[in-house]
Amino acid sequence: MPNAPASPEQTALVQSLFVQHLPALRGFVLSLISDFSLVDDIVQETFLVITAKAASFQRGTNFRAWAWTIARYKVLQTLEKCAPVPERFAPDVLEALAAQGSAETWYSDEQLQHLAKCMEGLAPKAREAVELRYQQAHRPPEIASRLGWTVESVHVALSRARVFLRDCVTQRMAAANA
Amino acid sequence: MHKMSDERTQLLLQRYFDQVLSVEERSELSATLLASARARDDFWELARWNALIRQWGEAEWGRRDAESLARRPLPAVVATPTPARKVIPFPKPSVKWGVAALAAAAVVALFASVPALLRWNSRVKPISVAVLTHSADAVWAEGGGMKERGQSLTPGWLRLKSGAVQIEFSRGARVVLEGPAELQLLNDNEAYLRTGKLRAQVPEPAHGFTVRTPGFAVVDYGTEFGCSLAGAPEVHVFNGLVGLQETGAAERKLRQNQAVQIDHDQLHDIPARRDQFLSDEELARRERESVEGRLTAWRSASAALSEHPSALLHLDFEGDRGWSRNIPNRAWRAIPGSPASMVGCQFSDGRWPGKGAIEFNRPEDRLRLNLPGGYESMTLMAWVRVDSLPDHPQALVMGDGLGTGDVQWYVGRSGELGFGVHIGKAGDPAGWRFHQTEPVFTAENLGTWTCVASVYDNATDTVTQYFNGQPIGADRLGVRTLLQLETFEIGNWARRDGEQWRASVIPRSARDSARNLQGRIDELAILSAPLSAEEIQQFFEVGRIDRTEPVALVKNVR
Repeated sequence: MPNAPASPEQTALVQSLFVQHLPALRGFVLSLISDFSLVDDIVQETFLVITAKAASFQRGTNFRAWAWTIARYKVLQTLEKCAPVPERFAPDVLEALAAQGSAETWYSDEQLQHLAKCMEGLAPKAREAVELRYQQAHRPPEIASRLGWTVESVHVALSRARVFLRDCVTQRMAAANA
Repeated sequence: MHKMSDERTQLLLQRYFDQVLSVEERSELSATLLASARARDDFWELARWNALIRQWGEAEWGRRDAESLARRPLPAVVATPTPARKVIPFPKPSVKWGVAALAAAAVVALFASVPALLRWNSRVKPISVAVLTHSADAVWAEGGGMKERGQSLTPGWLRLKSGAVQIEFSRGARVVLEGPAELQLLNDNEAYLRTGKLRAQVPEPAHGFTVRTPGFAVVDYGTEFGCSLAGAPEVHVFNGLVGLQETGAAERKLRQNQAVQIDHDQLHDIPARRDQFLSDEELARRERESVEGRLTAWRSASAALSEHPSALLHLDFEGDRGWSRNIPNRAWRAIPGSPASMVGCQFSDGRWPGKGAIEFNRPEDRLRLNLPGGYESMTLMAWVRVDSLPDHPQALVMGDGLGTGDVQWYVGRSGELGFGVHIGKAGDPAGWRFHQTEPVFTAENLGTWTCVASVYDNATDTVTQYFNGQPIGADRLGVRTLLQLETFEIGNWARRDGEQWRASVIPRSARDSARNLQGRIDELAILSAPLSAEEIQQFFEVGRIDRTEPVALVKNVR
């Protein structure tokens, strides 16, 4: 597939935009596949495609829309090659979700700072489950065997932790902006 | 703010993000998401929180890593604000190099400035779930990567065009896969067979071993079974008990000597037939034949390489190991009585059983040689097994000196392939010009045999580097003298008294001086002509561990 080579400046521009949007892009990809271990590959492939097609990006147009389309395509392409597992959606569902999920609002650094504080408020056991899941990228069955819990109780603990963290961050944001 | 969708949807979404949805739950949630924009909003609301927590988790982990690494020197690229340049400009930088350095700087800055965000593959590193234990005439599909005996396998696809392999899963299940077949390793006890045929032996600790297929899943309850998708899908049980699961149907138990054929969702009982599936013994027999065939083919190609008109050095590590500490140079232009001397290192096994190699392990292990003369062009090629990437560059072929035209060939700190020539005045520590590729030695190929080559062509003043037969980088070096090696080492770099701080392509200090290779070499050749890409490809093809197609000899090219 022939792509006109981009100038070094154009490539640098596109790559710096990519880095700027990277956290949101990673979040977008993670949401569509729910599997932490596939995110890096897909984001990396997206980066490669974006670099290869840098010449076709027009300065001033919506980088995000462009990058998200490429990422969405990479998600579908990756899942097509993978074995079907129950926790992943079929392409039609992913398309419907992606169509609605390109909103400009994502999270902010401020939220991330509050989140770090809110982590301290979690019960030790819940925090352990959250760390195993979100830091070490283990799946609930592995977390269950490490903590000696059932998979179901790991899931319940994670669900509750997410609700707690959401409420905590929201309250702290409101207090900070009051 | 919109009203949240009903509790049931919330619950299913929570289950989705924890990857614990069942098939039925997924169908239910999919239908809801397709039908309701509100449910999709809720999905993204929860998705944002999930991703935010994941971002916290990665940053946190990165911070801990950084703390634990604080005592270890970081790779140069991260530790210094300016990127390591691939080319040392000498005598003065040309415009081309300036631009290349800028581009490199941009990319390095990109990666160095956001280490906590750019996980790529380094953070959630795919851990190996199985090992390829045996291989008979295996031919792998293009792009599926070459898998070799002894290689660790991470989750992902195995695409076998022909031949057969044995795979041992980490939990203990042992699978013989017959090509053509496509198998995706999912984890240490589960795989997805898309096409082809396999036979599985499942010892006690691996009970629950599951083979998924497009139409059904076979769950083992302590057994030996075969599963074939060649033609109408069949499952044969040779021992013990397996569960056959189809979507929307109750699990069917199959016992010893039972077999079924699945035809348009209908199960037909058929006789269980062991002979339709390759046994371990048969695989072993085929492997022996395959190895002998490969070794014979390589030997004749290797003999031809020794006779190549421009062969200066050819070490094949074949022949009697005995007590000798000398490795004969088989090249026809070799100076009689000037073999490579082994220092420290030991004989070991090479690419195939019965093929010799040298193992480099300790800091003093090395081969010392002498090759007089100057050469306009040079080709260096080797079959190398790099076993680890310690925090220092590793020598392949390193001239002792700091003279004009001296050559250094090495594996970089991060697994790059590097080739350098000294083009300054003799003794000038800043006289090196070199080219280094992107990292080619990675976690996935450490411990496996790889083919590396670097070709310096005087006509174009260009070095071209190759990995497993493919060109992976090229650059002009600005060489205006003859290349030379004189006294040099393989697998190490000589250090002489008072010279510890000597600058080089890969400078070393008293504190950071080790340059020894950690791995094996089982063939190495140096030629005085620039071999073509086709000849390098030939050297690779004929030396590959597995290959059934006959290949032409190196001699026949040109």
